[in-house]
Amino acid sequence: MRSASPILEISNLSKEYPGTTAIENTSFDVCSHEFVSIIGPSGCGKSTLLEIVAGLIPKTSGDVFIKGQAVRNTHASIGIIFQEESIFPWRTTLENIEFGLQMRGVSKNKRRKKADEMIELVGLHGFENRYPGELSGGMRQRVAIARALVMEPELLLMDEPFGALDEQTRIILGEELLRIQQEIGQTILFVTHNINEAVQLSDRVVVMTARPGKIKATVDIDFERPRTSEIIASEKFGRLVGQIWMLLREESLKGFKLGKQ
Amino acid sequence: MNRMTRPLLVQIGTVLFFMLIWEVIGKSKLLFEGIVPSIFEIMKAAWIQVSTGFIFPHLLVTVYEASAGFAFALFFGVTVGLLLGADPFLRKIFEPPILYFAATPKIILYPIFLMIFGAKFESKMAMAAVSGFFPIVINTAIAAANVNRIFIKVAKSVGASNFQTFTRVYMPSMLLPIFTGMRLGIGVSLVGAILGELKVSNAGLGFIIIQAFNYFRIPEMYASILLTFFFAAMVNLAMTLVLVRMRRFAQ
Repeated sequence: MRSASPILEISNLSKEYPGTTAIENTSFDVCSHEFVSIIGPSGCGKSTLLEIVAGLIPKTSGDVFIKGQAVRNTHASIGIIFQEESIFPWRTTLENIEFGLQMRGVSKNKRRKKADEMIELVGLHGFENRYPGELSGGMRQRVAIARALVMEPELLLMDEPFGALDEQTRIILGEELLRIQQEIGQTILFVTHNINEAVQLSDRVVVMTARPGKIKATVDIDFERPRTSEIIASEKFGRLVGQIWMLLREESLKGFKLGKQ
Repeated sequence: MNRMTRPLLVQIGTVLFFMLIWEVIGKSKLLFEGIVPSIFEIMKAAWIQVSTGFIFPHLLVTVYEASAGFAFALFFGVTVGLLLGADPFLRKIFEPPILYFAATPKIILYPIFLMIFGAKFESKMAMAAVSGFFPIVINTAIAAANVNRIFIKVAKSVGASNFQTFTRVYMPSMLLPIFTGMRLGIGVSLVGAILGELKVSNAGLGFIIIQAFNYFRIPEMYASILLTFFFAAMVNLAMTLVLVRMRRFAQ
């Protein structure tokens, strides 16, 4: 399942803040076309890790390479999607999707054409000229996904993108994401605290420890692709979720106690 | 009687009721003769002021003073507001005095303006400018300081330059709060100009109100007050219509 070329290489990455270490000596790779999830207790540094890879915040030490190039700042080949509401309320769906292309100076016609393709891909046909205030939470996240994907990033980072949505919408959007990923072969690094979601979507789940965040273990998810959400009924699914929870439980309790201090 | 018309009917009913009470008090001997003239007399005086064109030069003077003052208030208010919003240190220094002074009646500055600018329209412009400055600077500073951090991250992540981030993210984010500040600012600029006219002036809406009072032409005084109120209400309505159009900037 792992193809030869790594898109993302992280080695010995550390991030320190005054008084605390968020991430300590973390290393892993993400290969082309892979869907890798990071799961860990609250405060374990998984969002920090993602923002370092995106070039939004600086690292303290270690290396981060995208296709062999060191990450220093935000990069055209890295897209990121946040958990919080991130699409601009003053722009229509199409205008939001075009935002990145517009910033990079792409011509109006070309932008519109690419945005139209994205609309079809994420299933928002008919909502091109609506404003975010007229869309549901799930639709708004689809716009955010389209906005990132239209830039054709080598690597797509997703920071708990469905965390604010209800369970059913989450599962449906997870299916949609799988479909999109399989259709365009997108490489994805996905942060979540939802074990079911990690097992449903990923090829590999990286489990992080409580702060300071390190890699505790990696679990391979060997369901075949193309997948649907029907796998959640299988015995293997439950077993994998259980396996990950056993790894996670100890760290979650630690994180819980740290939080109480 | 459906949902739309019922509040309207109650409002009309309240106005009619008030007018009735007014007439009753006026006709009774409760108050000094002439303080509460009949509504018919007031309406007649108002009609005369409008149809003879008497009120329009004065209306224009007030509009000129308030607009020019507001223009200054807008320019300085937005500029200072942006600076304060962007720099937390500056904000810490200047925000408390600005807030305290915002709550102080600006009329106390009027004698200073009279000394510097004289009794003509510049002193009223200064009143309008000082009055309008505060709602604008406060709203702008709050808007600038509270731009959604996620939006900034999004802009950075797609490679937007600082200039692009300012024009495409900061400015649209701040538009609605700044407009709300402008709406308040227009209102208090108008008040500032009229206050100045009430005290020392030779033209404007405030002037004709106080002049009618001085000559004890009470129906004319009420008429001018009503016409001023009507004008201010129209300005407010116009601003509301503009703000409704800007709904999509709300977050």
